[in-house]
Amino acid sequence: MGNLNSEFDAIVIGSGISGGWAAKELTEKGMKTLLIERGRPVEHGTDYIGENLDPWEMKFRDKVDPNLANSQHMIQKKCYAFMDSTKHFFVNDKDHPYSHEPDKPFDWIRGYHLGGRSLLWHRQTFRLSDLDFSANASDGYGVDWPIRYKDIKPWYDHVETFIGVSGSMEGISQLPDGIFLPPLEMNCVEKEFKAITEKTYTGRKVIIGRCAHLTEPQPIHLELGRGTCQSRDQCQRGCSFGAYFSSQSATLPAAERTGNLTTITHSIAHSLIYDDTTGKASGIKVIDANTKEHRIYSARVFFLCASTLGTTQILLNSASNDLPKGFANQSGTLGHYLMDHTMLAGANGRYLGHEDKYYLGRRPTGIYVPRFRNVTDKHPDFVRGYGFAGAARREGWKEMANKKGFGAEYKNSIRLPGPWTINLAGFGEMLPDYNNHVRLHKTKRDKWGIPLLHISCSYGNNDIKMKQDMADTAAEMLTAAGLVDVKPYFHKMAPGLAIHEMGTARMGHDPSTSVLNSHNQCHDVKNVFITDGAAMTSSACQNPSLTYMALTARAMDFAVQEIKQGNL
Amino acid sequence: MKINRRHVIMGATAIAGGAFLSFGNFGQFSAPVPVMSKHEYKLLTEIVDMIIPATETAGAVSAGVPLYIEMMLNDWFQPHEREQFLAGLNDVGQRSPSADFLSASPDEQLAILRQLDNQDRDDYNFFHQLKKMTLDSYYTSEIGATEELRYAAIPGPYRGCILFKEVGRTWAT
Repeated sequence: MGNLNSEFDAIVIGSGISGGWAAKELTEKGMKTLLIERGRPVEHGTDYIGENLDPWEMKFRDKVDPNLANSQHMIQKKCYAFMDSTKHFFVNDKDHPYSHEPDKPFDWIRGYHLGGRSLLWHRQTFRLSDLDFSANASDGYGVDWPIRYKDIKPWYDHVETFIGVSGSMEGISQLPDGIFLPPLEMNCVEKEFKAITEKTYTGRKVIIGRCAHLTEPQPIHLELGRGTCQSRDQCQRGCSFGAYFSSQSATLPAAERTGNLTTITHSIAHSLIYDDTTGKASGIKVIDANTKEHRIYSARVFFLCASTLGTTQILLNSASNDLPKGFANQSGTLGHYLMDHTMLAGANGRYLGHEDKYYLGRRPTGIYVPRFRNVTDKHPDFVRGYGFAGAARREGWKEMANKKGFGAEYKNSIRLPGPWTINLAGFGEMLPDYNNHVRLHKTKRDKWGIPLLHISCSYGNNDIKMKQDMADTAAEMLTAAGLVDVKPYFHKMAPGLAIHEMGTARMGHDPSTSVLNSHNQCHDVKNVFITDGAAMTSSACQNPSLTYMALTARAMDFAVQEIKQGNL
Repeated sequence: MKINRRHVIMGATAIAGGAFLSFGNFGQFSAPVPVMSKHEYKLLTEIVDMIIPATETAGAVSAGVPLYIEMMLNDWFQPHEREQFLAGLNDVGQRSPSADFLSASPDEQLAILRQLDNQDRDDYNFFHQLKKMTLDSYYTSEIGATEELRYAAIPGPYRGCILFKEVGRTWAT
């Protein structure tokens, strides 16, 4: 085993949305930082090989060759963003297997490359509120979050200022306002839907989706070479304009310019090494993805940002004689309380009118109906709540393919857009449940010799009852707004596909029931921090990436203070 | 405009000009190996031309739709899907009691396709499948997207609520 004995102040595992933030904050605070990425390097711009391709330049017009999809991307192909122009940002499922209980499928969508899923994310950027941070304490599912909104608010401010979030100030207690760039516009039908809905229902708002897109870049963005969103809505191909936030467009260049960052790619974190004389982690064992050579890197502090399940896999794989239950797992909760969101329930309908109206550009966000269930009232069937993401649009040639007709008249009719439709799609909170967990497979290993992750996760009764309400309520709201042909839908899905996997190393007050304290620091091993989705104590119903970033920035601030005070 | 698929097979460098350029960049991909007889390909071309004919803009044939569909049969379809498609194609070819589809009268051709188009959408229907493939191919071609409809690779800042006449045609993407 080679041992480079590289000395760093800090090591960050993973370069995605959390790892990029960890690297930026640490290096800006003067820490010599090593960033370890398991996948290949991806250069901003240069490596966005699908960017700017017109449909006719792609053999299957941006659909992925089924031979490739079915043989190499059996799971990844289920993701809405998996296309010919984006497929290189998704893992090869054959090279990166995992297992699950036979009756409990789990769709694990991953991108193993520099920047991780920050290149692929849907960029919806919502704060959690005290309704969320106090949810576990008030209804008893899961343990209490060790923080409240006031603890994280300055860090939401800090993150939003840097990443650039377009949105509108609304004064909604369950979805706090933030630091916003100008909001994207609603289209004519969405504006009308908003007006009718807010008049019909007390406590329900229709707002434009808050998203990490630059509508009016500020100096903090421009100095990193970022520019205004061009409404291509092909974000997952990569954006040379740097108009949406990714590690590549923002945190990594910010970290690099400090001179304090060293990045290594093709380097798979295998396990943390525990020093029982100090009670701390002394190093991280890394496998070279190409040569399979083992190396050890050491530092004062370690930050795991390898994605929810990636981070937990490393910790479970760090079990030793001293730590038989896995690293930082005195509580026995490591790997447990896995959550995702529920989705694929909602409704759509046809709007009559505004036939002389249209839009210009492909807006990279939709409308959003913030949570209204169990905010002031109490729903009889379920606890917690959901939000609706949606949009109004006009039908086009794709829908015409299913309508009668052919010939010159038919062709001419397609020159005019079809009717307006509105879709409302729910995203619901999933309760934390001890039974939903990951563990290491007893026998199977990947090609680097690392035990596979075995996942056992399914939606519970509360999750499904809430999901049914999403479909019923979406249909009711569309009908109330005067839409016709309203159709509710409820599709079954395996967890994972909402790509909001969270939990498995939760934060909590009590070291006997949680892995992390209020600063994302392991209760058991003080120089190890976890700031990705694994830290989440509950899932809320908002898209979670903003919270990972804010928790990361907050934890870095604490860690550097602790280092400076000699506590780490 | 007559399209000869053999030209495509010879490759982009062998043929310069006219007919070829109208395919946009189709020629950069490996040319399809014929899976249809000459007769089947003619039949396909005729039907596709009736679905999206040339008007004051080019139609499906000039946009390379028959070649695209042949490529799909080769490179996308599973063998059983290909067989089903070709059986459906030949069925259309033989539906006229008096003549082969290609030599039937325009009225008779129309009647055959209309009858298929009007059928229930629940069962497999060759014509519905072909119509969908024709639209998929045509409106994602350079001609279909940029000349027949409106296409903006880089639209610029989003405008949510404008008059349709400012755009003038349906957006292709």
